[in-house]
Amino acid sequence: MGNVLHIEKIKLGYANASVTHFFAQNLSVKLGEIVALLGPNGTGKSTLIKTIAHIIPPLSGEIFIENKSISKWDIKDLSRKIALVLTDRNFSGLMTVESFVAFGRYPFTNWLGKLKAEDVNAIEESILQCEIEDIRLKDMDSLSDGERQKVLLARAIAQQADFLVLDEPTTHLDAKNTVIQLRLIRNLSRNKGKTILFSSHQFELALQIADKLWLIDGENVHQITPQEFYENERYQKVLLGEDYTYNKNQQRFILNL
Amino acid sequence: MSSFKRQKIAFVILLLAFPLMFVLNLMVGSVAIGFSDLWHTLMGTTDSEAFYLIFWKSRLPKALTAVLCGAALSVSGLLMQTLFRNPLAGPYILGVSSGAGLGVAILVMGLGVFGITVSSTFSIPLASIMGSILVLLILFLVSLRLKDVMTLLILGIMIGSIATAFVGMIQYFTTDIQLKSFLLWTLGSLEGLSYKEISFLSSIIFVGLFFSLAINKPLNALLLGDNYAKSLGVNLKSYRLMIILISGILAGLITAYCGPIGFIGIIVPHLCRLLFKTSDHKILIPTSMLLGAEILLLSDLISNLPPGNIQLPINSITSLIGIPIIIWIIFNRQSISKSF
Repeated sequence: MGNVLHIEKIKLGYANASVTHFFAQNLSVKLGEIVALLGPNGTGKSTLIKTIAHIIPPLSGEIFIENKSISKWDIKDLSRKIALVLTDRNFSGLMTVESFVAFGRYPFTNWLGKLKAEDVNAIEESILQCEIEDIRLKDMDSLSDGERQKVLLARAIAQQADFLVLDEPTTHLDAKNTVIQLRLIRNLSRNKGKTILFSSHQFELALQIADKLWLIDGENVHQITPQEFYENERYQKVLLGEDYTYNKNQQRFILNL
Repeated sequence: MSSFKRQKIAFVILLLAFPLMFVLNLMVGSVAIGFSDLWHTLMGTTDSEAFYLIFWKSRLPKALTAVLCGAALSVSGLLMQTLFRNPLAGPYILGVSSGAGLGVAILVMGLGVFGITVSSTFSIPLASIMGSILVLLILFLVSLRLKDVMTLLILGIMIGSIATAFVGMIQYFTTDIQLKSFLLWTLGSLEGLSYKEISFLSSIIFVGLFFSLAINKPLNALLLGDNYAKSLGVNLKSYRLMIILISGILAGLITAYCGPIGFIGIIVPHLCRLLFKTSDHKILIPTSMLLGAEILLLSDLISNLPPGNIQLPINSITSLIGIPIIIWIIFNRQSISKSF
């Protein structure tokens, strides 16, 4: 199976900022895979996601989307390939959830943004999937953090791109909604064949749905399976530090306070 | 779909108010023209030469100027608010009008120092447009680094002050005649434009408004923030440049012909957002044009209300109308950012 995403020796960061991240390994995401991007705070997860989504250019190294260098992609074509969820949270008080989700159809509509039948279908379907019918007429600035998180995913789903790149799609969600959201993400891959890369700090849940992990450990990004994470203390310590106990039978981590 | 119904009603009211404001504006002035006189003058069946002259030489060009000016300033303000994602942006507050003023001052008085006199019909607008685009570009470059709403605003005020300071220095070295012509310009006026100038003004404004409507979709995407806009395939650089050019030309051109006219550019887009409960530019652009024209017709009407030959400066009226509206919006929505 082909690579949806391939990364070679990449250096990331904002051109005018002092903080840069360098990842020495080559990384790849295969078609239909769910990859969880894990790592401590400040190791460049969000920056990596923005670089993959072509929002900021890499400082050095190469990114290939479907075997074509990302710099050679037309950004309009790319917007039909990659759908994005970011941690940005300032949205207009005069935009309803419905019209926000409709922005997912932006790459497909004419200059007036007129929604065709297939666009309306895509919007309705993602509103149903993300279970946000009851808040569809609410304004974006009146949403709770958890509601907003679902709406952000709904917009990305409505874009009907093959590759979903999600920055912390489960932060701010309560336990029940986290499960709903992660199950949704898993089903997008299993049932619709979507390729998904998502970052998270809820690693135990992420381990349950991911096919593969990218574990950021300074300059090294360990590309491992969840099983390898459970079996190898070296990987666990990257996320958990020294002070934890691991219950092998239940695959549970207990942090010692 | 009650919100859609509400929008339709609001739009019909705006549409109906337009001819009403226009006709009222034509009737009120130092000499009042009644409705039947207005009709006869228009049809050419009046025997009063005074009415004929007042109507064709003064009232009609002034009303047409008000319409163009209101529409252009409002759309210019709307574009600036979206570009900077800043609810308080507008040509006057951001110092764009002052930049236009500096351009005109350099042209009218500065070149005069070297004994060069310039013909004004096209060079004044050009100088004014260049001044306003320069200020917008400076502000825009700064806004890429400083995202804060207040910082940008303070910077706009400072740029405005610097421009004014330069104008002051130029004034010091200039001749009385040139100084007078410049000072008259700074007072702001909708009067004195010939039909030739009005048709030149309107043709450029129509092009500007046409292009603003043409980019309604990317303008909407910019409301999601740069990152989402980019991920939806919006070419940020070229659209931002286009927005700067359109809003700079609209504001600069109006400032050239009518002087700096304050607060229309900032309040009208907000009133439309409140009225239509939307941030969609497809709706905001045409309605801002309509409402802007109406508010400026009304402001001009008010400036002509005092009896006799007294006429209040148009800039004072727009400030007196505009500032309470801004304060009302802030109180009404708790914060002005929320209605954005």
